[in-house]
Amino acid sequence: MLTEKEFTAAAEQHLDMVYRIALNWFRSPPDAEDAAQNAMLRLWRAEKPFADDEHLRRWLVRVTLNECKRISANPWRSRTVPLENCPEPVFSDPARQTLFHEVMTLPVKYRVPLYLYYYEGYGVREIGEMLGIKTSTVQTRLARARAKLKTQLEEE
Amino acid sequence: MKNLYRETFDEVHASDTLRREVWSMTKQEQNTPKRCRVPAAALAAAVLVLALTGTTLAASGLVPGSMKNWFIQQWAGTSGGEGISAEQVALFDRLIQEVGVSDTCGGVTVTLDSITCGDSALWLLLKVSGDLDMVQGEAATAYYFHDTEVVFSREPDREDTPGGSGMEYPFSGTSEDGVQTMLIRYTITLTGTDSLLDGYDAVLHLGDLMYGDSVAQEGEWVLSFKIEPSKQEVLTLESAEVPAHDHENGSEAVTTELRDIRVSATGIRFIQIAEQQMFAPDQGGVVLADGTEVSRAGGGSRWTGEISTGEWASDYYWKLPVDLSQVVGIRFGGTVIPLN
Repeated sequence: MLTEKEFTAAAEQHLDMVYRIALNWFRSPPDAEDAAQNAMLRLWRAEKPFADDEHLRRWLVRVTLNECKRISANPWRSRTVPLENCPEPVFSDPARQTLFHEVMTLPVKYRVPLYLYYYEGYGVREIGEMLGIKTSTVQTRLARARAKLKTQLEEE
Repeated sequence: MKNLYRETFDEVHASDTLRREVWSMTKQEQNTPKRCRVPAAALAAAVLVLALTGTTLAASGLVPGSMKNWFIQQWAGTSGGEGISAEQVALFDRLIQEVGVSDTCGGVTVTLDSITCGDSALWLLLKVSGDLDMVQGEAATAYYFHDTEVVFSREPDREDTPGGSGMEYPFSGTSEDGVQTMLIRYTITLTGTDSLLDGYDAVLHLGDLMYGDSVAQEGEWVLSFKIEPSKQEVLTLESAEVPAHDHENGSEAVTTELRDIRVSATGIRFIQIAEQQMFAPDQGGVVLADGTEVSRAGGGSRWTGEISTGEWASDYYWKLPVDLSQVVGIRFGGTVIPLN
């Protein structure tokens, strides 16, 4: 189990990542915050030792994805949140605002692999393992996500 | 694009409120004794079990030991005590597939006893046994698996948009045979003629057996099974006008047109035009010849084609499978649309 100091340091380093993964999953900040909070609570209560920071980071990615799935499966939660009901962050640059908006219009099955690949730098095989899908499926989804995003940005 | 993407998400941060909540976790855990918080899924299961009034099993705190008994129990709760027909029981027998595959981890054996597959709903009955000293009786409703996932040999959804899928535990508890028994209901929002009944090789992945908020047994159980392809009858209707509520304008009562309606033994599927996406059809169910109504138990909606301009497809499932030869209509709010 992590000490309070270790947990605080891990939260400082990884909370944004956890929140961004959850936001990519749900689009809705309240749902993303619920999932992020649950994932961090799992970290605080985790009894397994972590070999190094990369081990901890990868474990957190998996736990966050599992929390997102669990919340999505809650029978009391509506499965679909209309995009217009999801407030967006305010960005310093209009191009970033546009890109964020267009990313959020992508289906969830594209958004999450795209984030793990583009931002977190994971390879397609690792992403496949994290999401429980085949490597070829990850490649296809990434290719389609990029193509869709490119088309949408050109239309803007 | 990669640079722009990275710069964009550099500006996405957890809120200060979330940070404060996470930072305070260590303090809360140190200052207060650990509470056994019943998770939503287990709570839902408990509520459902408690809702099963009028049956010996519910009164004894036990859950059904077989899928068939669960459906019959649901029927008793639906029909208000009316006897179940032989045709309805025969339907359960036709739909339930025995599986009997097991996996053991950490001394705990999980057996996938049987499945029932519909158009877009899949019920999976699990038996859990082994070295673990499991709680019995009414308190056993708090068992569930932290991670539950069904992976199919190919994607059931052929549309280029994701089918929302959901997983829930209608019940979990000690059954009449003394074994911890759980029912998982998996549903997926499919469109067009896509169906789970096309036949699939599937794998159920279960991770960490939980009791309330605590891990009862860490581990992973992997159960492979096959959904046999089958042709089930579907009742279709080109279109129907039904009462609905506009959830974007203060729940104003409106009428909406449902198109390409498909009613199967396990659920209903229809589409609406994009402009009526915000019109949610009123609650209802399927009406049988003897007057019994089997209500909708849940479901989901999604865009097909382009978001906001394509079609809005909905896929709901019945509380239990129904004999289509007995279906005389579908009800939305106060309106019954005749069928058959």
